[in-house]
Amino acid sequence: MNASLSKRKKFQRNKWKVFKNDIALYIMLIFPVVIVITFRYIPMAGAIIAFKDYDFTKGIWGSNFIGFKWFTRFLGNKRFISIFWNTLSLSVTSLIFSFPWPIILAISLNEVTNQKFKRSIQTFSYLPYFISTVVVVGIMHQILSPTTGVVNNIITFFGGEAINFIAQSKWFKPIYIISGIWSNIGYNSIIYLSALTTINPELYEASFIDGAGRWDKIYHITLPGILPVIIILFLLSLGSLINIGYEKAYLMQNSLNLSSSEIIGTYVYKQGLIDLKYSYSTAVGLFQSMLNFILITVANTISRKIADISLW
Amino acid sequence: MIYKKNIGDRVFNGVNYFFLILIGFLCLYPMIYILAVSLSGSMAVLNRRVFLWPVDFNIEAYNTCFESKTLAKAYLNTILYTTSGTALNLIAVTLMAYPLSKRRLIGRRPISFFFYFTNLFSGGLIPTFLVVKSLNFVDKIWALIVPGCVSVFYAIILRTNFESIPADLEEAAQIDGMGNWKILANIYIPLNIPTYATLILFFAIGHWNSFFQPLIYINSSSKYPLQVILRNIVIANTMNDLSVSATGTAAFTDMRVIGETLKAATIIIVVAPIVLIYPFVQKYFVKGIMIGAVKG
Repeated sequence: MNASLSKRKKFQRNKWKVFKNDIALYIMLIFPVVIVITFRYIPMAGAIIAFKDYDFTKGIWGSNFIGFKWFTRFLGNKRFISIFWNTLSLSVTSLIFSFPWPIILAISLNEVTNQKFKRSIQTFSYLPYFISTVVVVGIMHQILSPTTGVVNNIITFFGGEAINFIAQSKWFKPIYIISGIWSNIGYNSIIYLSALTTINPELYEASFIDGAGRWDKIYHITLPGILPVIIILFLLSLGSLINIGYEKAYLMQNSLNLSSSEIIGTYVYKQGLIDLKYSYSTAVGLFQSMLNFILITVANTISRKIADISLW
Repeated sequence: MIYKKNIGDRVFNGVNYFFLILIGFLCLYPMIYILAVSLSGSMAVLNRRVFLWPVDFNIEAYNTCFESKTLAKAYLNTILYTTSGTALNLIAVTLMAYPLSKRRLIGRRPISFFFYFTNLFSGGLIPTFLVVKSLNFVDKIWALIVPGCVSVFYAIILRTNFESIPADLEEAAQIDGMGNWKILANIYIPLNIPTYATLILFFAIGHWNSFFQPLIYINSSSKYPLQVILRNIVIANTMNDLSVSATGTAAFTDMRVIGETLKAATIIIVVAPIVLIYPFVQKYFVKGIMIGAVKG
């Protein structure tokens, strides 16, 4: 009797100790949870002002409810249509043209046997990723300057006429995309490089016996081997299609290229924080989020049906 | 297995090496060019003589930069924001990752989902701005470092690393009477130094490079960080310097045109810390990303 009583007491005492310890875990979580509620969830609820006519004297809850008035306004706005089209075409072209390069770089690096060379090129290629957007656009202005930039230096050296890249609408997209490739090619190649290490080396040896050359091996073994990773990353990129980063576009904007450089993100910023049309801007932003969500869900479903690969 | 080198193989290797050298060069070239411009004479730059190396070498541009009080203040601001921001990031991310790494935690999955959901939806620019404004954070350092201090992505990477610490270590510590806080501080953190190095790198660079947050939240020019000042100089072609250079020819306060060499020098100064620290931490982050990405 005594023995079992003390055993039970010990068990209960231990359970209490364990529970007491775990209170510490919940206490630890208080700070992150409070931050996330304050700065992520409350703004989500605050997005309700997209359906209201926000008046700062009345606050979020006191402002008048006006339903979809803002949405009909910008969906019918011709300027908005062109902004939406800019966003979409910039995103899609950007995705198509920049997606392959990290893969090519990864496969290329993978084919190199000299580790020192491989590591040097990798080091060089990661550097652009850490350069801030402001510096990237600053470098852009220097390199493409019509009077002193090296691109025009080369053009004029061969007898051509200097092109004012920055001031022309038609150059906005190519410059945006090329600078994006420069920034991300190295960093994005990392995950492909890591996926390449998972391919079974025996497959390569077997193909050598079958007489496969370097290109054959890449086409028949390497690419299929990393195909799941490629698809997942492509899906993830589709997910941010509409949300395309507006910081760079904003920095690259000037009064001369606005017809192609104004995208949803920059429009939301200007309407909201410069023109102070809080409700309107929120409505546009919400619209963008919804589109995004739909896009990634559709892409995910298609991928699941076709290739059995999906994010959820 | 020894591969016989045939012609096809050698051509492939040749093309491959050439391609990689080209990529490596192209990645570095923009920085090299800017450096060259910053060290060249203004006339040489205007005469289109600068391609790869400085022409008419001089460091006048850098002298003007070092004399600028605005630039110096911005530098101090950025250092302050970066160090405090990174510290807060590390604290927030650790406090989130450690409890969630314990399988015995009741409510672990709902809580994880609670955090992860914020990656799928966002309230948007304006609502977030309104929240920050209502807390009186605007034009203060808090607006820059508090709202984003819980980085779910990096917290998950850290959590994955915590999960891989063998459970017996924790049990042994518990028998020794250590509470969760002590276990975290004395066991989990020291065992994950490489991961923390990676986190420090990414958080610090994120804060150093941040432009848009300061743009919308900071109004006093004395509180501007480097990126905002840089943008004014290099892109908007304007600069309000708080001091006139000693020689009287204050190139910064020449509102019409700020010389190309001066812009280039400013770029180099802003980017220098990152470029200098980068090679040393590079080995850490590659591993960190691979682990995080593959598992996440």
